[in-house]
Amino acid sequence: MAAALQKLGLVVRQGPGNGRGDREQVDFALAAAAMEIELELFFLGEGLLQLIDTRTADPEHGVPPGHRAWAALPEMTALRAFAEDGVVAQWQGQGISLLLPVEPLSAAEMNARQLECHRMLVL
Amino acid sequence: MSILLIVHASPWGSSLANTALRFALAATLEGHSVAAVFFHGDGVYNAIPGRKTDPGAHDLADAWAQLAESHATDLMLCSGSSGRRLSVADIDHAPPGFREAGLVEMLSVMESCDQVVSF
Repeated sequence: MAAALQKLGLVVRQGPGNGRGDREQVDFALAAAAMEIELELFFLGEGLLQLIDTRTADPEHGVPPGHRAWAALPEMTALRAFAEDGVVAQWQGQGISLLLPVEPLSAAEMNARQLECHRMLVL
Repeated sequence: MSILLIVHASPWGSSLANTALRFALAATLEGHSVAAVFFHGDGVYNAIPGRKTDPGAHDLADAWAQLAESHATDLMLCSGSSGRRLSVADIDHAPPGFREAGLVEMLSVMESCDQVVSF
């Protein structure tokens, strides 16, 4: 018997500037948030670049607007965002501002949190 | 067991889309229900029929449509992804069984399925 979808884990691996797919990661998260599904976002590798606060939309040159929608998610649903601990520390040291508060996790800690999600999707 | 497949892979570039189809066929042979296949991102290109294939290879669009017909599998094309990649003509000429659907609808299907498998 299927269980209610209470907590959804999304792994975001694709960075911005991904051509036609640039908005699709945040669209996925927004759809889940609109249904008030609790979200846990795991930003891996280039995926964390999606959250850089200082990006500027430039549709004429292939950078579509809408990336700041990540910042709206906490207003819509319960959400926690995670990234690889080494990268978070490095970016914090460089003063890089992100659209969401991101918690650093080791690989083992990420695996443990993902096992607690009712469903996991890799985007 | 009811299964939702999510296909991100296009029919070219990798064998993942073909693997997804083979997984779906194997699951149905084992008596499981593939309730729906949600094509997201480049996965929507699976709906384009009529491409030349090597001997023995599937025309994926037709193969997905046969799965839909024989096992009542809902073939859902992400409306956002298809809008960004397919023309209106592409969507109109997709084999029977394919239809556009939103992410919210897919999440509702996810809630009712026992397993979700992504390719």
